[in-house]
Amino acid sequence: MKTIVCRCEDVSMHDLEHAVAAGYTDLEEIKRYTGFGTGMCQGKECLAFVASCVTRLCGQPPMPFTARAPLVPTPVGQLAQDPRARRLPDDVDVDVHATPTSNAVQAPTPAAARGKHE
Amino acid sequence: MEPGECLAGGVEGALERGDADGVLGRGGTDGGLVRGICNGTPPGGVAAWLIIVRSSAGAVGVPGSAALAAYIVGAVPLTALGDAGPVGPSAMMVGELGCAMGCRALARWVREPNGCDATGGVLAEATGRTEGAGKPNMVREPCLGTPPGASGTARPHAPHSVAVAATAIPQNGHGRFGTLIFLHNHGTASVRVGQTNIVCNGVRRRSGPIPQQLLSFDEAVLRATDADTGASALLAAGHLVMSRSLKYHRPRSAFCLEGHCAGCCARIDGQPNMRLCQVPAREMHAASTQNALRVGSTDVLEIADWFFADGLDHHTLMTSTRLGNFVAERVVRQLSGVGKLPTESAAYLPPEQRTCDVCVVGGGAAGLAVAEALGDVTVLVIDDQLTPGGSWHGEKSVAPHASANVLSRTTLLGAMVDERRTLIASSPTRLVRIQAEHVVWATGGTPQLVPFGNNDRPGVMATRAVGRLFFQHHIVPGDAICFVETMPTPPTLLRALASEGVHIECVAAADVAHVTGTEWVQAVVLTDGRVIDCDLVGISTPAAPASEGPRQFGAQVRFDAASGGFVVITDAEGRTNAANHWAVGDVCGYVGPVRAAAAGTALGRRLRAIVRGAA
Repeated sequence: MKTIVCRCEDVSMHDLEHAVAAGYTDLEEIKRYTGFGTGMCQGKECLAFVASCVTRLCGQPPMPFTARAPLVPTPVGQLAQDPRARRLPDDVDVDVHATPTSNAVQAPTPAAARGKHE
Repeated sequence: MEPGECLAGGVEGALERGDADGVLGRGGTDGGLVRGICNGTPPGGVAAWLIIVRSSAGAVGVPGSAALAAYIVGAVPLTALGDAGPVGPSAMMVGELGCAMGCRALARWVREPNGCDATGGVLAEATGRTEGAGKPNMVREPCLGTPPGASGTARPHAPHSVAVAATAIPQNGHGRFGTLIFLHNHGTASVRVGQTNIVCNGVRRRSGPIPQQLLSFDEAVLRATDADTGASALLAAGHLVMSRSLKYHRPRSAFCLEGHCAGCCARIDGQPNMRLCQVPAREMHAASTQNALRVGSTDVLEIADWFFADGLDHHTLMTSTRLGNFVAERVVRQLSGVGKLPTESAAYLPPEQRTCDVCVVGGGAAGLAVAEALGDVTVLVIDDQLTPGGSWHGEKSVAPHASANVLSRTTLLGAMVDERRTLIASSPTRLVRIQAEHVVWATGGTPQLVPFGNNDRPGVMATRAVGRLFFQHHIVPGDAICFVETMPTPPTLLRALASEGVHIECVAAADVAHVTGTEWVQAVVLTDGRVIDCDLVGISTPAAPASEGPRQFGAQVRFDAASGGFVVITDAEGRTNAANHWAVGDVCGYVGPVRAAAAGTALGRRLRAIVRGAA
């Protein structure tokens, strides 16, 4: 029987405990590890709930993960109607695979997780 | 008259002799026995239809219900019902039950005793399923009474047909389990009596607008009122499972009814991932389940839920060979995921530009109070719901709020990275760009789950959603409701439900072990082993502050479990640490609509002085 902590992405309490046991205690890390908060609701329905679970498991309250626009799923067609969406010249070569520096991992990988997957 | 017995003379004969009434007991002790007769001429030479609905303990029975059931199953047009009994709102609600039983329960549970699939054939027609008329997804009136050829399509029909006597005889005190008695009409010669046990939940309409709008969900056709959204219309008609979850294909239904959860995501008129609770029933025609491999009402992919009983760590979900991984990845991607791309792209208008002194984000108790107190200052309230009022809708009936400065169904997406930090919002038709001197965050909160086993089952619903169903959509969502509480359920809601005869239990969230039921909750099991029978579970927990917007603008938050989650930190006057950004109401920690409105009024007056002072 599952206890669901994130309905959109089907993340169970077991998954959450597993992630915490693997050394991920920050909500941003847990989000990336389990996928919670990345579905239709973008964390509206699960962030506080997961935070209270993590507080129970780790003893101290975490900080929320980064809130990014768009805050709700938005049709691409609607965004494309904004003239500014077409501002990018055709000849600009954008590396869509490059990781923005703001997203680069700052903290080292937790030891428990490193031992498990490397 | 017993199951398996044949009556001479067909339905009409049985009626003349009173035998059909005898099946169910004329004028039963519950006073709810009703019958309706209609003499349509369904294809296949069946001369008469008989539909009898018997009530249970007031749950389903009022005069006229049978006629309405007949209407909904499609045998007679509404206008022909004049002589069959009073047609009023209360009759409609039973008609909905007739629809629920006729179109959903019947299709699933009724099997003809001798194995012939007559029921299936007829019921498929009774649900008014769309047929190849060149336009898939177009809803057509159920048309059992239409002679073949009149609608331009010849339909397959059963050699003999079924008449329905639906009865819910309460066996556990709440009327959720019952017996469905049905009559097979063998031409005009005889009637065979069949019987099957059914499970039905106690959702029903209370008096209010009459369902007229016609819409379809998968194969079923249902009726909705002007107050309905797609989700409430489905619930009222007994279509309980609305979607399937992403990975495990667990059945899901509406949880929040506020456009936040994914429980009611469906494909609506060709557009995927639309929330049924955010589309008025009058704006939609055909909806269908997405992300499901359906066989009847079952999603065979639900096997994933059994296969991964606790959960799954996709990081370790690898096979030993590269080829195996390649194949597995392709397969898994087919099995999971959300809807398919739209058949044709929707046309959106170019962005609209709005300028104001104060932009209030959120049209709930706090936001509307701020806007009102601002007086003659130019203000724009954007609200993501169909109607303003926010959490008031969960506690009382809210009068329509007619104000030119409220943009409903408009959700803030974020800010442009420009010098003015222009706000970008999304309405159903276009983007809205908003330039405001001051931004007031009155976004309120989002209902949350509480941890217990199977806490995502359909029928586990936020208490605010229960209130919305009752007050906003005029639906009594169950006969026995169990509230799982980490804070008290609003007394106004409890009183209103009790006045409709709903049996109510309140339990502390910490005492709940799990709920039973797969496609709809059936009971709450407590840690001490006690079982509470119910057909709806309400989760009463402080709404988590919707602080994602203010956070994006740099407002600081802190975690406060008692206040629901990440609350926005403000000073005594309501300032956040982002310049010209203010916050008020539940987003600063759950306070409820009364105190939120008071705080909103105070902030509105301060802001008015500030804006007037600057000008």
